[in-house]
Amino acid sequence: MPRLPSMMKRSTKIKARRGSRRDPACSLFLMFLLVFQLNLIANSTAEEYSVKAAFLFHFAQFVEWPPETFKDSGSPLLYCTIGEDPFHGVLDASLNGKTIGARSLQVRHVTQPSELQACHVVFLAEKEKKLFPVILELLKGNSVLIVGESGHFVQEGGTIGFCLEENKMRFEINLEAAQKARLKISSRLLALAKTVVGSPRGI
Amino acid sequence: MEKNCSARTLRTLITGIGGLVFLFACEMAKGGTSQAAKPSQSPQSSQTPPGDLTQVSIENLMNMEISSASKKEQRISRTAAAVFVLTQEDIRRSGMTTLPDVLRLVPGLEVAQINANNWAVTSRGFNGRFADKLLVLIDGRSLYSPEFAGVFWQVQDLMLEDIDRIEVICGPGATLWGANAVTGVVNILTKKAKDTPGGLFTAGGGIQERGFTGARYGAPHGDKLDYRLYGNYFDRGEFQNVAGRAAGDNWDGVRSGFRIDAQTTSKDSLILEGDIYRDAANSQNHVATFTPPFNTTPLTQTTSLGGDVLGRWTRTYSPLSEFSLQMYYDSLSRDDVVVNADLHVFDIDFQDHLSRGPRHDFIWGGNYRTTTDSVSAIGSVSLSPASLRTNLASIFLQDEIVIVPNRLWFTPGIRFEHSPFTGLNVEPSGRLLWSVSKNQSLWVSAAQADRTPQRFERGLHDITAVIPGPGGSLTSVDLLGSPSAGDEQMLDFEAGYRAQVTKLVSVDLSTFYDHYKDLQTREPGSPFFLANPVPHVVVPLFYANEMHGTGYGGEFSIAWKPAVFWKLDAGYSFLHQVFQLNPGSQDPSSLLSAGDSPRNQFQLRSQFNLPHRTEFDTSVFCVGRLPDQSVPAYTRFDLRLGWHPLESLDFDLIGQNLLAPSHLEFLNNTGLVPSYVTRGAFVRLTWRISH
Repeated sequence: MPRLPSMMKRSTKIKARRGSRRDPACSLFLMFLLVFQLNLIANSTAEEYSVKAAFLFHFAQFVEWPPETFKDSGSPLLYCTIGEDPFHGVLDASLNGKTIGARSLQVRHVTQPSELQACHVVFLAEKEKKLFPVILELLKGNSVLIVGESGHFVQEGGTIGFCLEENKMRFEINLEAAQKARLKISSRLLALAKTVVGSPRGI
Repeated sequence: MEKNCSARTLRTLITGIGGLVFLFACEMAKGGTSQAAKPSQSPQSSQTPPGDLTQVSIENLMNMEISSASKKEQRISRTAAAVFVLTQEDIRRSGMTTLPDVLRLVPGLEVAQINANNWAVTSRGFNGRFADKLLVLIDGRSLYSPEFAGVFWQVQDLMLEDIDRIEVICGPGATLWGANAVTGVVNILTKKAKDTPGGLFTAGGGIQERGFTGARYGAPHGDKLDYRLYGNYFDRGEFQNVAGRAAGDNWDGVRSGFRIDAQTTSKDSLILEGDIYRDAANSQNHVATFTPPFNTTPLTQTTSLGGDVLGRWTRTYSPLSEFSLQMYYDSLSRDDVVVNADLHVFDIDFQDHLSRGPRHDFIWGGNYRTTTDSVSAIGSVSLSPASLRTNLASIFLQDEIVIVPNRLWFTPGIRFEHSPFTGLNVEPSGRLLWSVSKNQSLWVSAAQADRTPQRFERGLHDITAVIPGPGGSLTSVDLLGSPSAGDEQMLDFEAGYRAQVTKLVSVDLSTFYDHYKDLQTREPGSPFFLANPVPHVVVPLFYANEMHGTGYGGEFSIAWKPAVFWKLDAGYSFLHQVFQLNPGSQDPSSLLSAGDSPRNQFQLRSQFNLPHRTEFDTSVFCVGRLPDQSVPAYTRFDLRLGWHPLESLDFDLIGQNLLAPSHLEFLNNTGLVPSYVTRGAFVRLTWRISH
């Protein structure tokens, strides 16, 4: 408890061991790490996409697809990205082995927009924004949840658009687009959206 | 990079991490290129990217700060202070099992283990068993002892799995947190009950960690309330004494508690949490008696029995304004060889956070704390009066002013505090943050913080040594509280820079210059005669404030994610302090002990995800020597191999202090006989049962 005067403090004599001499070990080690890993940076991803992957997982739980979009009640729910995988494998890993109801979740990384018609959830990365009008046209009338991350994504016809607000992930919903695609979005998801556009009641 | 980062460290590291990393990295590089733009149905089984967040509720995802390479929350980029955040993932992967050891991961904190069950933890100097300038809180409950100052780390054995994150501020935080947040604030935040549904069971044991187990169960009750209950037990082994034999300082503890989170309306939320615990810890303490052999160091048991309960109501008016009211009661009964101390603290605190227009973001609040203690001397330590009730009250106001939108913020703040013994303290601060670009910011700050005297400084009577003289006469050296013991003050200037250099690399640098005045000393008084318990002459040392000084230093940390499966954190801190006694002071010992901190500390941590659901984590901590105590520099090397064969099951193999059979970290000055920290190794099983 209270402090003893320090004149007392060495009453137990402790043998001091000399630290070993200065060694460039630590700096060498750091340099070693730096050099040989540089080539791997290109394959890396930021945690932002772990969060987006988790959101995509949750979105599917709050959205109801028309039954005819599935072969049967046990057929899988298909997630698709187009072009280079913006998730760098995180989406695959996050959804691997997960189910929503009786449906397992599958991820497909496609290269051609036409391959998206079989998908239930399409994620369009910022990088592939130029494909957006094409994809919209192509998926017209299909029950596909189109999720994107570019600015004004929902205003331009996407179903759900991610946006960052003070470094927190938010999303906007285009209810009209959802209704046209015959997707039922639960009120709980709507309540969590930052903005809902195209609402019949003009919320 | 202290002297002790020896060739042996290098060899261990390179053969350990290096080899594995290199092999795996090559493999990943190959896999990465062939994978590009190819339709793939199934996930890569060889790759388990970190951060599967699908089990996190959507509401919590929305509250999560988006980060890139850095584990730090991005809102830190708006804080003009040296902030560091430890996440649950950092804690889990460190393999550390006690709260003070977890704090080793924070660059700039100085953590030294005195014996198997006592630690000295501080920030920016002034370390000791009762390091008194660091304020530590768990969910808003202060752990700072109003009797002896500092923290009884021994009894803070909460379930580490329950911690959401630990936010550490190096430097003063007195404006927001009050007195005694002088050189640092450690804010431990536990998870919401909503985030811990289902069951969790952990168990393990080995060398040093002889055996431990913990269980937790959480569930929703209705759709507005979530709760969890937990209980844990540990039995930790003994260290070595100076002769290399068992020091006998083993200890065990048991703890249980709960947390309830309720969303009563869309605007109101309530938290209720509580703990109860008992620890029994063996240690050798110096005891002075008036009968031969006068000064002994018996091995005795310290038992602590305590509990606390905390409630908080938060009303959110809008995303930018909320009001919270918090109350807690904390009780601790601690019996050791020299003193039995009982403590009851009741604390009420409110905070109001409101935005006024686009330019002002106010936060203001108040706090009232009443402390009742009773201390009965069974050995050589007593407090006078034996029982006392003290009150503390304070109010504070801080405003974050936007000078240039999205560019420049100025945050002035002030706290007025009425402390029990010294009356009014005024603790102002001013912080300026400049967001240079989206990814980098610069900040400067100036603040004043006080450490207020606690009970012992006013009323202590500690017989530290009894010296037998000729003819059976006895003289004792007594440390005595003094009515003139006053506040210690620090004036602090800081500047810092932080940047997200790339998506994968973030750096944080903070530097400080401090001026200290009225630091605590122990001044000799005129010897006097005392008839009780036996006639003897007392050579008194009175607490006083007769020292001043300056200090400067800095902390640097870098977080880097070289690959999806790999994360590296490095930290370095530097500290230099110079103290001088005021004219007339006769206490050279305080002069030495005050500045006795490592000048350099360095750490490197690696978190590596291997194929087949395994994780390989290593950490190195290089800590500089303590010159006055003649404690040599040491290097700590820890290793963890984790395997989770199922989503619900984790196995960990953990090795701690692997470099040397034993080493010394601290020679304390508070009557405790230190031990040599020994190697430890244990296995840990974690089983999660989903709800």
